[in-house]
Amino acid sequence: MTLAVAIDAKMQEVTVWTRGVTLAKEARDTATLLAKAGKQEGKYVQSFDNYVDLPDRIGVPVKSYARLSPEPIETYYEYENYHPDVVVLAEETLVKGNDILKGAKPGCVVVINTARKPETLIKWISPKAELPKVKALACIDANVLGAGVMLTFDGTEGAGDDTKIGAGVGAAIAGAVAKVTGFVKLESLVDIAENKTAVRQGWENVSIMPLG
Amino acid sequence: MSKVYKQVPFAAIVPSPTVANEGMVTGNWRYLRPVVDKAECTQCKTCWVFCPDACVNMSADEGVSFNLKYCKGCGVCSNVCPVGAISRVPELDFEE
Repeated sequence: MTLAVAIDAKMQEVTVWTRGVTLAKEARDTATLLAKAGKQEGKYVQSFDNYVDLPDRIGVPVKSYARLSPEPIETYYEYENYHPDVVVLAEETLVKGNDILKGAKPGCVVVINTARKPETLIKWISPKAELPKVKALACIDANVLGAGVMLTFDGTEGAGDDTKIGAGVGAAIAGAVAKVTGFVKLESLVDIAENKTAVRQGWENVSIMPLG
Repeated sequence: MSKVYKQVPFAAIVPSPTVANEGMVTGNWRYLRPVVDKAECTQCKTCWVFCPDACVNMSADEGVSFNLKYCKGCGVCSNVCPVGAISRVPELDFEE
């Protein structure tokens, strides 16, 4: 399906990959923060989870999505981001064994939550045919950042969701994504996120490796 | 291509796997890989009994090995091992 690109030419798509249950809330936070920050800046936004992945189980690769556009978004009936501009991995191991670049747009950016160097991760990124489309690979060690950065165990479905938006590692990842892509401003993210220190530190500590 | 009605598979049924089911490969769920220390292992088969995915292979020559195509990395084997021979190593420490 290429309908999304045909209708919403200016729409930017963010796909956040994560692990079911243990990190699902964090990925949803990252997507929601980017969408809400975009909305605050007057953009048209959507943010949602991948329905096919649900119900998730612990450790399963699942996805959350955000869409931002300067024009009204007419893509209502596509429930996945088929052509991501940004691919975010909330957990480093997802780089291995998942086709994270499937359908990626030229100039795509990959952001990975990891303590490892970007150079060591590039060999696992698949499908290999899409790799020339990647503009930059960014790494952010969100798990160790800032006072109060934590992991939540709220699942995607059913479980209590009593932590505010952007209280955990998702906030730091959102800060990193904002810096690498320039989709939203740091101030609007800080405004919305619960853990403002994490957003700022994510913005500051991301290491970017330009490719191609 | 038309099929006789009785040849059409019933909806939502996966053919019974004999060894491996290609329709449900779960190896990419794992982020910690089980690694057995052959020197410590007593071949008691406790891990083989407890593995929820039947991913522990026993052989007389090579002892314990894991089917990493399907191992979800749940860590049960490492928890039940009476001699602590199974450790969990981050998946990205391995090339393959």
